[in-house]
Amino acid sequence: MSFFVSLQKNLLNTIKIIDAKDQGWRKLQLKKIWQYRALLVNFALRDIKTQYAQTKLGIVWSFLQAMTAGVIIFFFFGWLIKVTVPGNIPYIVYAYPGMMAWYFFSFIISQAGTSLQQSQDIIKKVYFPKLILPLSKSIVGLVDFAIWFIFYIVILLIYQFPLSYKVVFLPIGILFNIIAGFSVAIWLSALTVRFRDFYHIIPYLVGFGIFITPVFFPTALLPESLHFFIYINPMAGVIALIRWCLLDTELSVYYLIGLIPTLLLFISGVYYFRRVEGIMADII
Amino acid sequence: MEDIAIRVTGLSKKYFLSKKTLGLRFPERIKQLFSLNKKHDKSEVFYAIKDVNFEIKKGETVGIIGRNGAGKSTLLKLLSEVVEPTDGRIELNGTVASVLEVGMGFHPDLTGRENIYLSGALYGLNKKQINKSLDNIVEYSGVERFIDTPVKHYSSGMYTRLAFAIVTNIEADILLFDEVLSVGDLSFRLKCIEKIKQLAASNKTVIIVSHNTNDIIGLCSKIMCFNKGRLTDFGDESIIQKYIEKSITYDPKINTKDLMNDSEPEFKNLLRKEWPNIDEALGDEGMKIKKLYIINESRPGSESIFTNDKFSVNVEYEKFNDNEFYDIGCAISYMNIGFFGFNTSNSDLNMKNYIKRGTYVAKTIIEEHFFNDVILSMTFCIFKNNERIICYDVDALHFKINKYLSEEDTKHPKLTNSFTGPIQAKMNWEIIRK
Repeated sequence: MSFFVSLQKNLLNTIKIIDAKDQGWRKLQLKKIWQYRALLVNFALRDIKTQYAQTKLGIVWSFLQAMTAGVIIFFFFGWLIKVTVPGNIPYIVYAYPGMMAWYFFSFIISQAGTSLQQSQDIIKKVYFPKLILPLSKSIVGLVDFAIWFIFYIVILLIYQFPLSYKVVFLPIGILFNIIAGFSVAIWLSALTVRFRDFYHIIPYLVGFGIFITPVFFPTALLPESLHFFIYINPMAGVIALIRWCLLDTELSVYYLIGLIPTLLLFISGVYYFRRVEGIMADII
Repeated sequence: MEDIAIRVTGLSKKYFLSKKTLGLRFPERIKQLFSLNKKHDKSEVFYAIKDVNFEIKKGETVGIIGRNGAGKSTLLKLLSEVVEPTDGRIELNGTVASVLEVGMGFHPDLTGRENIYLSGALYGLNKKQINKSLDNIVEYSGVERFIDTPVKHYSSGMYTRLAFAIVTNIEADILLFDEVLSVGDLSFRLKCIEKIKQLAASNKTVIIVSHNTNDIIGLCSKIMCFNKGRLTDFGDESIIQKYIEKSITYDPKINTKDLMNDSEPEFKNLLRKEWPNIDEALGDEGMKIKKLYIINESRPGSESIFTNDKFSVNVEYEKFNDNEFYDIGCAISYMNIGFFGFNTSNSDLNMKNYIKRGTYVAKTIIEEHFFNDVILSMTFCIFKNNERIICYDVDALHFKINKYLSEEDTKHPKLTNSFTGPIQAKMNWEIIRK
């Protein structure tokens, strides 16, 4: 009985215990991230507000980026190279969602992947769950994604192309898009803390990854023997899923299997991140 | 545990002094990359905190003193969960807020108001708490008009005041401050001291780290003294006395040598400056300074100066005409602040008497027991015809005044020797019985 009484008292008094022996296995501490949600929001707001600070055009830059991507897709791949796409979908309508998802993915890995490095002065001075840093960058990416999506609606209106009713599943596609980017980003950010080498890998992933991902072309264009490599690419599955949501294109069951490595990468990434978190302030 | 705020048992923090990896060959680097955990095996181990145990009761104000590298800041980082302990256990009863840095997380492109919310969130304040103290912060910082302007347009004074204003409004059960008192201006210090007293009165626990004992005297009910990662003393204010005694006690064997702390880098006096080439020398066409030098008058030839030495400041210059007169000015700075100035025009000399061309030496003497044991730098300048300054040599000379301790002092150190400002002069006192 006295045990329960003391336990209750402990809970009421919020006694925090830091024990070196507990540091080996780490819990996910989702509750802690929830407690620090105000900071998460503050970090995200800071990045959104300062992204276009002192520019005349401000958020218009995001629209310009979305538009440039559309122009490149339309002229270079649709008109000059004439990539063929399944069904009677106009090329830009087919390719743009791929670019949209890829841009979101690359934004997350380049921003969230370096987020710990950027905030090292804070990490050394104050405690907070460090997962908040890459997480807030992912939220910031959503703003650009929304702008790209608005631009996509404009394209659809121009082509008089109807959206599939499956658009209601788009949030799931976006969620997987975030998970794919986030799982790569937390691996990269945690590894970068220990080995700066990984910092230099990010531009490769962003710059060359787009060519081995079916962004501009449908998978059907590739020989059958290469399909396996497409299926294990986390972004290939995400893009196929988003296209399925928007355009009701065929969704190969292999892609869904391909989402499993993404989830594995995500879970292992969070685990590795939590392991490194304890020594971050010491070595960053 | 009810009346205890912090309990620390067997706490240690180990660091590895990493070996350099630059010279390694490529295969060795690859090898090192893959042996993740074993790479520390051969590196040197260093304990920033070693086997520390203590308990702090609720409502106590505790000051932590110790030299640089004694482990004070590491302890605060451990208590505030910034770094994790290698060994041991910390129990914290209540919410913790730590101020290891003032103005943390400030972003230059955000407005003052936005920065208050961001920085406040980092110090653990939620939106409600910040809203409550927002008026306070704005009023104290005095940036009301500019609160919606990006802080990069602030003057540095406004910026720091805003940063400090946030710090003084932090709320938690346990508050940790690292060297905060020693960085602000006087008004901030007073505000802080008032706040800390308020907190203590409302049963909050406050821990202050400082290497300046003056900050702690009178403010803290308990003192902790750290040395090389270990907690050497924990008790009431008498510990400060013990700490000061230790830091001023010295070994007679190194009597003649400079009394230097082994952790401080060696400081070299610069007591002489010459211009062999007269064209490069300080001055104008009518007058040139050829030499600046300081002579230890008590012990001629000595390169070091102790508090009981009398020393002279000498300026050797040459005049090239007979109609203009020049004054020489000196200023002595401590920690980049000039606090003591003297020049020939402020003396009984009339420079017009020395107007003829030729080489002169202007000399003045600084008496013994005037400066404290501090590092000082000396700036020289020349005034022409009492009209204008023609040239400067900023921080031309620099020197360290070493503390002189008599044999009596070594045996029975004086607490009164602990003043830390640049001047600790021997004055004529008289005592009258009424």
